[in-house]
Amino acid sequence: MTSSGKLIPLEEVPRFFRDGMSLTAGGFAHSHQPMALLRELIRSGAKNLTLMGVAECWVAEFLAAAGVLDRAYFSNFMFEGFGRCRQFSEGVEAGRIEVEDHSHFGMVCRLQASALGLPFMPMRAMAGTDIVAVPGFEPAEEKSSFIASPFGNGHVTAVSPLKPDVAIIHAARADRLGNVQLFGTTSVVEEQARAAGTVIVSAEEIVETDVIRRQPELTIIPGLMVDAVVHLPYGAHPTGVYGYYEHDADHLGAYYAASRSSGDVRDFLRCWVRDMPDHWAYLDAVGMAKLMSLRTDPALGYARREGAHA
Amino acid sequence: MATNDYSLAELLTVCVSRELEDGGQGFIGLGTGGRAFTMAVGVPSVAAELARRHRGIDFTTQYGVTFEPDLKKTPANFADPYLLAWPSKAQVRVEECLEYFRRGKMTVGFTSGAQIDRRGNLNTVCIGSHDKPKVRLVGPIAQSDHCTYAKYTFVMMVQDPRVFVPKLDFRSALGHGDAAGDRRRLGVPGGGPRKVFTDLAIWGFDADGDMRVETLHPGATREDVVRTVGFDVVFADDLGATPAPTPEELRLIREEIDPEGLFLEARIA
Repeated sequence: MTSSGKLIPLEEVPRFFRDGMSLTAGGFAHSHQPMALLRELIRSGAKNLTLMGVAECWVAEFLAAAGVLDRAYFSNFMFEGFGRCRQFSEGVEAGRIEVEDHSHFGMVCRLQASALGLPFMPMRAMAGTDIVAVPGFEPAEEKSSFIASPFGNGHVTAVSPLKPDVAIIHAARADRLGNVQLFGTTSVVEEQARAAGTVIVSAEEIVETDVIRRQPELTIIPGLMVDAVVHLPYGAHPTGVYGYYEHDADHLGAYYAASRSSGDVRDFLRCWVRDMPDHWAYLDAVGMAKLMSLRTDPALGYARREGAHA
Repeated sequence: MATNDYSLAELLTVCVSRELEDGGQGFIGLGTGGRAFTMAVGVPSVAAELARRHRGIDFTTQYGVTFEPDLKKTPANFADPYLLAWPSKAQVRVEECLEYFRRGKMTVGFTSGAQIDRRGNLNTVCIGSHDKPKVRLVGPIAQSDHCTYAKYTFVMMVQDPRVFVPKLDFRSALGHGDAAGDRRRLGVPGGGPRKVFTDLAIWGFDADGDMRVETLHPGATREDVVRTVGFDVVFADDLGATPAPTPEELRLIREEIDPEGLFLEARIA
C-alpha cells in the first residue's frame, strides 16, 4: 500500500458509483449524515438508485429531490423539528419512488443477515402487520417468511439479507488505513459497513495511526472493512457531527422552505450541489462565520449559544 | 387555584402517572413540536416523574439511547448534542437501546399513530393505498418493535373520525390483531395496547382485545366520543368519569416537575 493508503480525493469517489446501484448511508436525525459524499454522488450523475436505509432522512430527501432515487427499503424518514420529508414523500405519492417498509429492527436485521453472511435473520417484530403482508416493489415471499423454529419452540419471521453495493459514511476521524472513529450517537453505521460491498468513509480529520492506537476502543469500523477514505471537514454539513459542530438549523430550514416547490428545490440543488465545483467552494459559500458559530464547545459537547440549555 | 382549573395535558399526565407500576421501565420517543410532542413525549415524561415523587415508585424512563435523565437539567433543544450532554444514568448505542425490548425489559411503550382501529392496531405509514398513497407518512419506525415487545403499550392520540378508523390504510404496528389470540399465534411476546389516552376519554381493552371506553374526561359526553370515532363505540358497563388531578398533583407538576412548560407546553425545540 502507498503512503496515502486508502485516502483519496473527493473527485475520485465517483468511480465507485454507477447507475442502478444500491446504497446505504450513515447518520441519524440531523447528525452525521454523509452530505458531502452525497452531493458528490448527485454531481456524478448516477441515477436510478436504490436506497437501503434506516432513518437517514436527509440522504433520502436529497436523492429524491435530485430525481435519482427509484426505490427505498427503509424504516422511517422524518425531519425532527420540521416535519415530513416533502420531496421524498411527494415522490412516493406520485409513484416516482417505490418503497418497501420495515420496522427499525426489520431493516437492521436484513442488513445484519448480509453482514453475517447468513441466508436470513429471524425476528419477532413485523408479524401480523402489512409490512410483511402488503408488498411494495419486492415480492412478499422474497422479503420475509413466517417459519417454525427448527427446535420446536415457536415461530419467527425470517427476513432476507439486504446487501447494499456501496455504503457512504461520515465519521469524526480516520487514519489512512481506514480505521474509523465516531463519537456520540453512531446509529447503525457498523451494521451498514459490514453489510455493504464497498465502504467509503469521509472524516472530519485524518489522523496518524498512532492517534487511533491511543484510543482503540473508539474505533467503530476497523480498516479491513473500509475501501476508501476521504478527508472532508464539515462533511456532514448541514447536519452535525458530535464533538465537532452542530447541525445548521438555518440551512436546513432554508432547504425545508425550498422543498415546498419543485422550482425552489431545483434552484437550491443547483446552487448548493450541482453548480458547486467542489467541497471547498461549498464551505466558502456557507461562510466562515456560520461554520465557526456551529463549532462545539469541547467542554459542553454542544455550541455555546444563548438559550441553548435550560 | 380551583381544582377543576387544569389543562388536558395535566389531566392525561395524572392519569398516565397513576397507571405506572413500581419497578417499571418506559420507552419515550423523541419527536418534537406542538401537540404531538406534548402527547407523545411531554405527558409520559412528567407522568413518570410525578409517579416517582407523588407515589414513591421506582420507574425508569428511557429516551431513545438515554436512560433516566435528570429532568431538572432538561435541555431546551432535543438535537443530538444536547441529548448527549443531558446528565443521565446510561447512554447506549441505538441498536443496544432496542435490545432491551428484545430482552423483555420494557414495561411500557408510549405509542401513537396517524390511524388506530378498534383492535389497537396502528398506522404510521400512509393514508390511501400503499402503492400510490394520498399522503406518505414517516414509516413504521421502531414502533412496530415496541408494540411487539413491550409488556404493554399506552397509546396517546387525539380523537377524530379520520384517526379512529374502522380499517387502517396500512397496519404498521400490531395491536390485538384481528381476533383474540392473534398475538400469541404470531409469536409476539408483548401484551399489546392496554390503554388509549385521548382528549376525550380513556379507553381500555376487553379480554378479546376489543377497545372500549372506560372513563370520560370531565365535560366530555358519550355523544362527543361517538362523533369523533369512525367505528362503533363500545362503552364499558361500568363507564366512569376520569378522575381529576388533585391539588397536590397539580402543584408538583407546575411548581416542581415542569415549571417552564418544557414538556407539557412543548417548549423544547
